[in-house]
Formats: sequence, structure tokens, C-alpha cells
Amino acid sequence: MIAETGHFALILALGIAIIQMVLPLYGSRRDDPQLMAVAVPAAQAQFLLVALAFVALMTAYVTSDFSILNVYENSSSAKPLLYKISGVWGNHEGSMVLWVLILALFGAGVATYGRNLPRSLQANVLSVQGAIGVAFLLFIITTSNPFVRLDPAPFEGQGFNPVLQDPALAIHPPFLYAGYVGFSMAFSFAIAALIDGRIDAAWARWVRPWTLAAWMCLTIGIALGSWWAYYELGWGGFWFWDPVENASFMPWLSGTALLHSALVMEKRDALKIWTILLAIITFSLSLVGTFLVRSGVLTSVHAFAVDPARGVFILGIMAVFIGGALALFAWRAPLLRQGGIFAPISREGALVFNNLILVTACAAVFVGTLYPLALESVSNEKISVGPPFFNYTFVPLVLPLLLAVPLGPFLAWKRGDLYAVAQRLMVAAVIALAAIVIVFAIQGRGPWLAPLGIGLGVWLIAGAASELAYRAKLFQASAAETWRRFIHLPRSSFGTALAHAGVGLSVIGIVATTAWRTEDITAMKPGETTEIAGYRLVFDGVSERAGPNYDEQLASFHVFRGDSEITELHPTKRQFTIEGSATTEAAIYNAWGGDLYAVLGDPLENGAYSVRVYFNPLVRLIWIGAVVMFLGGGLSLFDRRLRVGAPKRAAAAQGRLADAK
Amino acid sequence: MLWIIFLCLTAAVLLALLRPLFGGGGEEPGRDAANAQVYRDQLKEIDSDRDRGLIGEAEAKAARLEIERRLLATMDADQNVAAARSGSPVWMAVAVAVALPLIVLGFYLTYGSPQLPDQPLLVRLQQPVDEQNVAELIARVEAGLKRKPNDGQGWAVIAPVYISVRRFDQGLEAYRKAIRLLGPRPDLLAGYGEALVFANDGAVDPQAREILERAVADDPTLVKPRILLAYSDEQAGNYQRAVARWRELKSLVKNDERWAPLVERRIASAEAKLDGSSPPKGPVRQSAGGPNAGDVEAAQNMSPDARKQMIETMVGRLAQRLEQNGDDLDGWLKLVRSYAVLDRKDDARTALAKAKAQFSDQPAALQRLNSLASELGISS
Repeated sequence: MIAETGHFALILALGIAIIQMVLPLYGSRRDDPQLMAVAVPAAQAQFLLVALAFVALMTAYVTSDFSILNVYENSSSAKPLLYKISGVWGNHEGSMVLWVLILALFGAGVATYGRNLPRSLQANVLSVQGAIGVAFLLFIITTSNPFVRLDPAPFEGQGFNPVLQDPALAIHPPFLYAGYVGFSMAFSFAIAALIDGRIDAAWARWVRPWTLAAWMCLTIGIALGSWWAYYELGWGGFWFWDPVENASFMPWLSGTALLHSALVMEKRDALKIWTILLAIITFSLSLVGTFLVRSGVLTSVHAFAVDPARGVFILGIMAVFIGGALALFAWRAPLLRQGGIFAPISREGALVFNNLILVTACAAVFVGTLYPLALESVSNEKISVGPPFFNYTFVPLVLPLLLAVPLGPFLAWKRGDLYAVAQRLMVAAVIALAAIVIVFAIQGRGPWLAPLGIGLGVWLIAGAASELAYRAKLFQASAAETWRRFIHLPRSSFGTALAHAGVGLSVIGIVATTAWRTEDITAMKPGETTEIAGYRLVFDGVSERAGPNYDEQLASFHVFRGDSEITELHPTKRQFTIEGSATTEAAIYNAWGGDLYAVLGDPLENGAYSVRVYFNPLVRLIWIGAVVMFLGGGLSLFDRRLRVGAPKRAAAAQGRLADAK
Repeated sequence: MLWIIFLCLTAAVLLALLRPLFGGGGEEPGRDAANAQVYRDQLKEIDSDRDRGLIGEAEAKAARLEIERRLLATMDADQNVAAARSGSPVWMAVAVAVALPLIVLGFYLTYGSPQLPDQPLLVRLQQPVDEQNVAELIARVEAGLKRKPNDGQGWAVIAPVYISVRRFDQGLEAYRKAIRLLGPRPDLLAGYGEALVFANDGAVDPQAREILERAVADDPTLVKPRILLAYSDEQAGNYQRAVARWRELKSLVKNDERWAPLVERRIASAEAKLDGSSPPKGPVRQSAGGPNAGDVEAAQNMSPDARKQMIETMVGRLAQRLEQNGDDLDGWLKLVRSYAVLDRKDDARTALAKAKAQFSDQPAALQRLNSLASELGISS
């Protein structure tokens, strides 16, 4: 009864989404407030029903109702509760329901809290949201239905991919999807503006926080995915330029660009058309990401051709939404009024620079991800575009951007003074240079570029700190005055500084661990010792242990530094009986200098085991940086300060400009 | 019940969606009014921020100017707020009220399975297995096996179920298929041996014995085949070996409430037989079905005459039942075999003839009757 109610609720949600798509748009064209008003209860009801369906599915997972095919295929009764719950979105069907649930939640948010929006803007936005809902609900119900029943019901499920039975991966998809789907809000607002041929005052006010929230979720989602890959896959790598990773990275890049251009639009009423285009591109990349991961096209283009129902459906969704949006853009964008004017050297100019580079970098990733697929489908030739491609395209592209990041916040709106900015960043530059010299001095080995990379990271952090110091007039006013200014700085200033410093932290982590990681792959017998990066590991042997739904071999290492024992490491290998597969659980000792990372390999002859030990210097900074970016975004999000341009230096200049117009 | 829920959901949704179409529409702010409202809110925020010292006087002034400029632009925009037209909400509402349930129903009937209840694992495991359910279960598994006849696991699952509902031939066949497909796993061998014993009215024939021995050799922890082997030793009068087997079993099942008392009793009884004294009386379990371990045990405890009488009674009951309803091939086979075992050859021949008459139109049944007849050395 619960399962069938969930199924019915999902289908009813599709019916509501159709109405939500048609009536409000028709109403806004005919200027009929009653029809437009249907959008609000429709969006709310759609959310409630999708939530009902989701809860029904989750109930089935928690109670191990194997009469549902999806539960049978992806769960087992022995699984711990956390993974029974996360199993709901650990598979294709369930994750698509989560996708739609988040979409409906955001739609309901606009319906409930958007009462101060102009009626027709709200109606159009919800109508576009309804259209996205229709597409995805139809996709779920016809090709990926999670409520397909199994009769007779088996007594045990096939289990859940053990690699995915992990806390980080349990919460990774909700964040990732909140990010993807959050960009649908920006998309809907963009389409609504194009339909109306005008951009309302509330437009940027609504788009920016939504974009920011989506960006934050995506940042954390990507970081969790990378962290998981680091400790679960057993090779100590944090980023593989894998198509699945790129699929989430592309919307992040263009979303970062959108975030900055929305800032310009909100504060300065400029870059409107570009912002709308970016909103369309960003959501399109979210759709591409969903397509890449969900269609099966990644495993093999040919497997996709054999069973194309899902892939072709998503391809159709993409064609309609991306093609339709771009066509609408080409047709209606000329109607939009252009906004403020600015000089090339200005905050706006810096943000345009940021946008250009981010979009170009995103294009590079896009090519590197999709070119092999295109080639395979045309010529049957399977090639792999590995990390080298991205290292030679993406990295040089973003370097100038990273160098320029600290400059941006110092530049004034409309017209900036680069020379003055350079002066204010003198201290940061000196600190960065000093860092380069010091790193050169203490690190005798490794690529010569590495110290420069560390310097770049330090430059980002010091630059962010300089901005706060400058705004608080550090060393220019009395300590008390500086403190007063500091605590009264708008929260968005802290947000900007934190986010930029977070990028710096991640850069340092990436450079350090890429340039100076050491590894040691040996065969060890119990009692033997290996040394790495100043640590001495003594292997005590391997014992057997039983987990909730697996058996594991548990290795023991005593770790010494000098003569003192620091810790014990217990890397394990787990065998999952029901799923019939095994995972490696690395043991990681975290110190400030870096991670000591041990992996238990296969048993060899004469009682020895193959053991892999890595030392990854400063690797945690990569994810700490992401968390700092997330916090920065949060601070900006909760900044209640007005969101209008305040060209403070140029009250007079503004008057002149207005005259000139 | 399910359909009432669906009805309520649909009705609630329609009510929520259609309400705006009949509502008065309320005070709708015009587009420019809404924009102006946003700007006025922003001006208020500037004032409050300035009062709290969040922004300086100069910044506040500049920001006010910027917003006021935009506000002015809003005021200037031509005030072409058309009078809100109400179209024809009635036909629109009717269209929605008809189309929505039809679409939803169409999809649900295509993809849904309203006839299937929820089956949470815990509840399923607690449900008593009544006959009705078992028959249904068997039917479903059989349907599945018809589609995938090489599903060894399926045969292994259904075999003991056949035995438990006394469909021995099918049960034995299922075990043979499972063993062929999955290999001679000790649990399957044990089940097969047990099934042979049950099918043979509790007698352990050499074939069953061999299979049970093999199962125990492969997996010494199996309890049921050991019990049957011990019984068979007692049946054969080999009390010495029986006692040895029961003793082995005792150490195996000493913590298992299901078996420990039985094993204790059997040890006492077998030892008594070995000593030639009379066996102690144990509780006798009643069973509605055919001879199971309890009946066999009860039969073992009786004097030979009493035992023979009990068997005669059971055979008499079976013969009576078949007189009333002869459409039970297994029953006939069993009856013929029983008469033969009781050395009532004439009765056996008569029963065989009656059975052949009953199944004269079923060659498969006739063949089985004939093969039994030749096995027992009787002919009708």
C-alpha cells in the first residue's frame, strides 16, 4: 500500500507538473491573474507529492521490501541502516527521484517565499520549473521507474555496491544534486526574463542567492566526492579527470562565473544578457552532467546504442531545454535593455575577465570529456584523454585567473585604478615571494614549478587578507578604529575573502601533494619494517574480523617517528558476501605536514603481503580549502546588507555619467 | 483502501489547484508596483544598516541615489497595467478536473501494480506459513522455474516445500535438478536423502542411506541426516551403531532445544534395547500428516504387534480415503507399496488394479504404477 501510494503520488506529481507548466504561462501571456495564481499551489502540491513518493521509497528500503525491484536490486537486509537510507539515491532510479525532489523543493520555495515577486515573473519561473519537472518525471516514470514491483518477492536483495557504502558517499549525491538543481532556478529565472522580454528589479536579488546556494552545495559535493575517491579507491589520488568528476566540475566552473556575473548585475545592473546566457549554459552543463553519468554512455557508446531508452530520453530533454533556451535567447535577448557602463579597468572589468577565463577553462574540460565519446561514436576508436590533456589546457588557463583574483575586490566599481591596487597588494606580493624563496630553500627535490605554485596559493590567501586589512584601515587608523571597522565590515566582504582564501588553500594542497608525494610499494612479512617520509612502519600481521555485512582482513602497523610511537594504522580489505565483491579501506594518519596513507594489498607467497604506503604532503588543504569556500559562500548568503551597487568613491562621477547619458 | 487513498490525494490536489480559479483574485500588485516595492525595501534596508553603523554615511548616500534613480525609472515606465482579464475559468477548471485524473489514472494503470501489497521483510518472516500461502508460493515459483528451468537455486528452494506438502515426486525431482545444477552440496544431499525417506513412508532404504552418509561425510554438522541414519540403524536392529550415532549427535546438538531432548530419549531407548530391557516411555507427538519423525519414533517405541496394528490402521484409513476420492496417484502408489510391505499381496494387486482403472487415461500415471508393480514383484 505504501509502495503503490508512492507510485501514484509520483504520477500525480507529473499531472500537477503538466498543469504547472501550461496554465501559469498561458495566464501570463493573457495577463490573467487567476491562471497565473495556479502556479503557487501547483508548485507546493508537486513538492508534497514527490516528497510522499520519496518517503514511500525510503520506507521500502528501510523495511527491506523486496517486492520492489529497485530495492531488490540495490539493497539487502543485512545492510546498516545508514546505507539502507543512502541506498535510495545510490542507484539510478532513486537518484533521479531525489533530483526531482530537490527541484520540486526549490519550486515550492519560489512559490511560498516569492510573494513579493511580480506576479507574471513568478508565474513564468514556476512554469519553466514545471516544464523541467514534467521532463524528468516523465523520464522517471517511463524509463527509470523505481516503483516497479517484483512478484513473487525474493527474500534477499542483491545488495549495494560496497564501494558506495561509505559515509561521505552517502551524503555526496544530495549535495551534488542540490547544486545541479539549484542552477535550474537561475535557468528558470533567465527563461522567464526572456519570455517577458524584461528583467525585473527582483531578478538579480533572487538569482544570486540561489546561485550562491547551489554553488556552495556543488562545492561541498565535489569535495566530498574527491575526498571519498582519495581514501576509498586506495591510490591516494584526489582527482582523476574522470568523466564523472568532470561532469560535476563543468557546472561548477560556469556556476562560479555565473555567481560573479550575477554580482555585477545585481550591484551595477550591467552584464544582463551575458548573465542570462551564463545561467542557461550552467544549467545546460548540469543536464550534460546528469546525462553523462546517467545514460550509460560513459561505459561504452555502444552499450548506450544497445539499450538507448534512457540515454535517448535524456538526450531529448537536453535538446529541448538547451536548444529551446538558446533559441529563445537568440530571439528575445535583443529586447533586453542594456545596463550600466564601465571602464575596462574596474571591478566589472575584473569580473568579465574572471568570466571569460572560467568559461574558457570550462570549454577545455568540456572538450576533454566529450571528445573521446564523439570520436568513439564516429570512428569506433576508443581513446582516453587522461590527466595530461587537462594539465596542459586547464591549468595554464586558470593560472592568470588565480593571479588576478586578489586584484578584483580592490578595484572600484565603474572605473578602477590598477596602480593604486598594486600598491595595496604590495604586502601580499612580498609574502608570496618570501614563501617561494623559503620553499625553494627547504625543498631540494621536486619540480621547479612547485614553489611557484605554493607562492600562488600564498598570494591568494595573503591577497584576501589584505583586502580585509585595507577595508579595516589596518595600520592606517588607530587599533580601536580598525577593530570597529573590521567587525562592521559587511559579511559579504568576509565571504569574498574567505572564498578566495579557500581557493588559495586548495591550490597549496594540490601543488604540494602533486609535486612531493612519496610512495613505497613493498612486500612485507609480519615483523618487517618500511620507512617513508621520516616515518617508520612496523607490520604486525593480518587478522580476520567480521563486520555487519562483510568480513575483513585487518592489518596492523605500528608507526614510529624517531623513537616514539605515534599511532597504529589498520588498513583493511573487506569482502561483501551478498554483493560478491571486495573493497580496500585505506588507513590514514593525518598530521599537519600531510597524510600517511597505508593500503593492504593481496597476500603473497610465504606469508608476506603486498603493502602500499604513501605520504601525501598537505593533502588535507585541498578539502579544507573547499570547506572554507563553502563557509565564505554561507557568509555572503546571509549578508542582509542591501544588494545594490554602491560606487562609494564616485558619487560625483556618477552624477556626471548620468548627465552624459 | 488503496483506491480511497488515491481518490483523496487526487481530490485534495484538484481542490488546491482549482481554488485560485474561483477565488476573487485578491489585490494583485502590478508589475511596476512590485518593482517599486523592491526598491523601497532596499531603501529601508540602507537606512537601517546606516543606523546600525553597518555602512558609512557616504556609502549610504551613494546607494540611496542609485536606488532612487532606478525607482524613478520604474515610475516613468508607461502605466499600461491592463485591467486584469478573467478568461473563462469555468471551462478551464472543468478541463483540468477532467484531464488530470484521466492522465494520472492512465499512467498509473500502465505502470502501477495496485494488486500487490507491501511486503516488508520482517513482516513476511513473521507470517505463519499456512497451506493456502504455500500453494500460492509454489505456484509462483513454478511459474518462475518454467521461464528459467536452469535456475538451480530456484529448484533448491522449492524442493523442501514440495516435501512439506507431501508432493514427494515433485520434491525428489526438484532435488535431483538442484543437485545437477548446483553440484552435490551437502545440504542438498541431506534434503534429498530426507525426501527419499519421507517418500518411502519413513523407511530408510539403501539408496537414501548412501546419500545421507555422503551428506554427513561432506558436512559433519548436519543434524537431520544423522538422526535419520541413527533411526535406520535402529530399524535394522543395529543398536550398537545406533547408540554410537546418537552419542555423536548429542555432542552436536547439546545447545539446541529442538533436538537435544529427542536425542536424549533415543539414547536411553537404544541403550535399553541393547541391554534387552524395556524402553522408557517418552511423550508421543501427534501428527495430522503421514508418518514423520515423531510417528516413526512412536512406532519404534511399540511392541511389534502394536506397531503392526498401527500401520494396519493407517493403511486402512488410506484405503478408505481412496475409495471415496480416487484421484490421488501418490495415495494409490503408497497404498500398493504398503500392502506389499505388509505382505498382503492380494490386497496389493486389487489396489493396483483399481488404481490403473482410475488412471486409465493417463499414460504417465500408468507407467509409474507398472514400474512400482514390477519393483514389488506383483502384477494385477
